[in-house]
Amino acid sequence: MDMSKNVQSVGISIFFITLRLFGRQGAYFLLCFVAIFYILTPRLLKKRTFPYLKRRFPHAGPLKRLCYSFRLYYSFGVCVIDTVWQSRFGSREHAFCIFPDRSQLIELIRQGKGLILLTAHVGGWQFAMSNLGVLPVTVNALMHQDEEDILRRYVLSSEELPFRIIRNDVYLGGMIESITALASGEVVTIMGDRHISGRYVSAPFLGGSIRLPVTPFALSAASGAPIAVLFINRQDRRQFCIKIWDVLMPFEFKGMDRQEFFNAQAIRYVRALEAYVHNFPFQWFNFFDCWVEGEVSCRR
Amino acid sequence: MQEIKQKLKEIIINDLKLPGVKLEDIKDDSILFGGELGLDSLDAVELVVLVKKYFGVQIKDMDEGKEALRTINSLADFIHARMKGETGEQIDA
Repeated sequence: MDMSKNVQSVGISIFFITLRLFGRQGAYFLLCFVAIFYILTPRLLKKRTFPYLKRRFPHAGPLKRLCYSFRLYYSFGVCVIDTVWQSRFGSREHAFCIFPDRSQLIELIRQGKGLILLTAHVGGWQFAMSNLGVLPVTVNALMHQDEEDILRRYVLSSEELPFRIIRNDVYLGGMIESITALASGEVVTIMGDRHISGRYVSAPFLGGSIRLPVTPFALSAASGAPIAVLFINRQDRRQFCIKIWDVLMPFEFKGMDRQEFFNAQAIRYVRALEAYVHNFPFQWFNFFDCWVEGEVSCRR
Repeated sequence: MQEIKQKLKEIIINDLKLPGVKLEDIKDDSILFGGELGLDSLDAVELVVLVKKYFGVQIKDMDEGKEALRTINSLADFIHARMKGETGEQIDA
């Protein structure tokens, strides 16, 4: 494991140097070879890209799936390169990131119940996080150590983060701080697409069933805070776009018991995710098999 | 203080929905989270909200929460101290 992390660190350093010396074009060129290297390992492809590609492109044969795997890896690398370039070397004068729904978010925040931003590992999610400082209240990011490390490594280095981190891999998973932040009218951002441990809710996604952490829905139920489903996509080499894909207001789920509440909100979230991967199929960056056999209820 | 403990046990059974658990099953020194009651971090969220609702006391962060949420005794002590501090009066409990 240490060797693999060392190799990864060397790889990242090479990319940083390439970016500095040759700009984004140079880094994209290098990325081609890295992406080709990754698709030459069939065993890893079966674990990392095929589970998603089989569902998103069910009629694609093996050769097309291989090409799509290349596109996925390349697209992931491009998003990271663009994020790093803009954050570390780019001019901040350009509208590299557009946020057309920002005023809608501010309206939701003004309702005073706090706001949960439910995001996912899609597009340049690291870049989206670095742009949350534009909101008028304190933004708290519920995340674990690995995600914080990625942000600091790729995006923000020694700069002060534009949000407060609430660690979810500690005692009680950062829940006390999260509910307190919401009660103070603040924003809490949560990645909703990966269940690591603890309670989950299952929802249908791309013809199968995936597990989602129940945390955002439980926080919404307890605090009355609305959930804004927020995803970022790379539009072209000049721009990312942060957009609201759905807003889940607690009153829409009034009268439901807790489990029904969780299930209903989870289904709305995965519908937004499905719409996203329909529009941007090569910006889904969960490189593992997240599907499980038919579970339909929240587990204790 | 006994009333606070009694109320907390009722909240845990009724509001956190622990079927089959009776008041006398919850000891004052029972570990609330990660123990035999089977409560987890999501229940902690509910409990923080319920403590605010029933007692008007807010648990603000993990510095306060870690000790307060350990057992019924510690939570009751926390609530009692906060209620006493806010009203400036001795609370008979």
